[in-house]
Amino acid sequence: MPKLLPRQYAKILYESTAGLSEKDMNAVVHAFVKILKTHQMLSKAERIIAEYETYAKEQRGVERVEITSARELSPGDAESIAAHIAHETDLSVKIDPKLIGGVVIRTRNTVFDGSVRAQLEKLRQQL
Amino acid sequence: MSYTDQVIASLKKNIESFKKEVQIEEVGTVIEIGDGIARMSGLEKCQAQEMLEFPGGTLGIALNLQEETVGAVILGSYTHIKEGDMVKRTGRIMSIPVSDALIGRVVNAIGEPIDGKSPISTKTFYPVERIAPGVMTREPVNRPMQTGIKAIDALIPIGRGQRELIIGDRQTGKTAIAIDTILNQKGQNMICVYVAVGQKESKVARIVSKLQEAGAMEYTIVVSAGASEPAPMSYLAPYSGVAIAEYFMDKGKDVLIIYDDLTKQAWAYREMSLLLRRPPGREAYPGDVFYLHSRLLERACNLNKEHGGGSITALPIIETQAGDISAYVPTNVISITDGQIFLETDLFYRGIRPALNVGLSVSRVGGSAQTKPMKKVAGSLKLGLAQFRELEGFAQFASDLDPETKKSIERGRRMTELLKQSQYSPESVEQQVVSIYAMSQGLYDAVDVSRVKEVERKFVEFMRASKPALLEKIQNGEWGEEIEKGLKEAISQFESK
Repeated sequence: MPKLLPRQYAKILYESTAGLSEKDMNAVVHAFVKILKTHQMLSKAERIIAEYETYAKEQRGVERVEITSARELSPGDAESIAAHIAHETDLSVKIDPKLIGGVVIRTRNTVFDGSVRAQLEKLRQQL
Repeated sequence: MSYTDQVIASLKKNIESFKKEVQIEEVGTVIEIGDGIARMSGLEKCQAQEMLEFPGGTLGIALNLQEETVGAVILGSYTHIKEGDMVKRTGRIMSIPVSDALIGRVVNAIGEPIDGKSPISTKTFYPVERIAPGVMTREPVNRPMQTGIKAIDALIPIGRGQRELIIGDRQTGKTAIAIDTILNQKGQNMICVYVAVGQKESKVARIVSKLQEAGAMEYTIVVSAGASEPAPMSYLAPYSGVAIAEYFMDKGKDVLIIYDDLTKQAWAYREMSLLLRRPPGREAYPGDVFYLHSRLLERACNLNKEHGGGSITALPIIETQAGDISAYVPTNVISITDGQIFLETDLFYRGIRPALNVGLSVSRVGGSAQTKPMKKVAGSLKLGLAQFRELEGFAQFASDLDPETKKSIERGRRMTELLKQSQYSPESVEQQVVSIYAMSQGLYDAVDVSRVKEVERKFVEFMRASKPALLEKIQNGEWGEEIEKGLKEAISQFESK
């Protein structure tokens, strides 16, 4: 089992490089990679880089939002939904006809399920 | 309206009144799954011991809340859960559905029925973990809980609200005592909860059918976490059982709960803790194995009148290995309970069943849990047996002893024989009292040891037939010179026959 999660490594990297000059940053990154080698986490380097990007964006207030819709959304709709969630968002839109209608909005920690499929499921349980 | 019309009308009404709402759920992602344990990232607002919903409707309990991850145990099969799956918060701290409809049913550790009958629908949920009632809500134990087993009711009496441990090696009759106690609660205004932890499913099936046969399921609930179910179910089952018992206690009822057995719960908890990477302590148990049992057993209590007057009497069972009562878990539970009933293997094989070691067994509540007649007659029995134990070693030299010693030994032998009792034959209080009183009056002294039980049976039959009024008085807890005189008369009448 790895000592820490990729996300935790990403956090450490972010915090230790915050506000440094280019020369210092290189030194820190070099040391960081050495630690990854000691922890045998080099194979997860891509994951850690991806988590770093997500974390850095979160710190700037940018949320990652994924909108799944049953049909194509009109232009501007997806952006206005995302605007309700955070100022700046890292938006991705998917189409899934199985939702029948409506949208499902997924942020890192919450799911807003406004799809018709979910409503039908809830109705089924009630009956 | 025909039935179909009614159903259609009800469906229409439900559909019309259905409110469309966006479902908001807090979620996390599975990053590691295996051995019934899942680690998730996300779930930032998850609370301790909160129930989480995994794909497929499987439930889990969040036990490890760490900075970036949540560790949960899964209650059920986990082979369909994959890394990357979404996990939802339910917002409910571990709780089970309770209702009066539970009586007579067999349920699993999360309250789902497993006896093949209709589902239990209820809106009442009781938390599985609850702080035990405080000092001011309790009252000292003062009402008897009759087990129907002479040796226990006379020498190690149990009261309503007490915790009495049944401890012994395997196959010494621990479950037998528990079942006989349940059978004896018929007509005693008690509700019984039998929690089977890690037992063979065949054993539980046999017990349920025996209870059904004897009509005991009319006041009994069985909670079962079988041996084939994952460890978290065994960990949870005793807590679910006591939550159900608390539901009835809060209504003012007296409840008897039997945990069969807590050793297996400790094993299950050890398994879970090791998989959750919690540091192992003595015998590889986690550091809080004492707290595991103490918080469970503290919930058995006797409430005072202002709080409803209900009670929960607990009979936890612990299995020892090779009679070692100084092992970790047995010593823990002995220090928590209000007394213990020791069952020994060699007593069992010598034919003394129930295989109680009267010398080492104790009930810290004692006489306050006995009716007046029983208190009076049990004293002589206790003394006689204690003397016998001291002299037992000399019994082989019977011919060289003085008459006093010989008499004590002979009396002691007959007392031991009298305390033997077959399984599934609980005896009522008045029956026990007259039987033991007859012993103190020397009724069995002239009888051969092997015929003591036969004579006892005949005497009890005689009393039932010719002195029912006297028996009723004793049953109601009366005692005095008159009753003693009546009994002495009855004994001489019986002897002359």
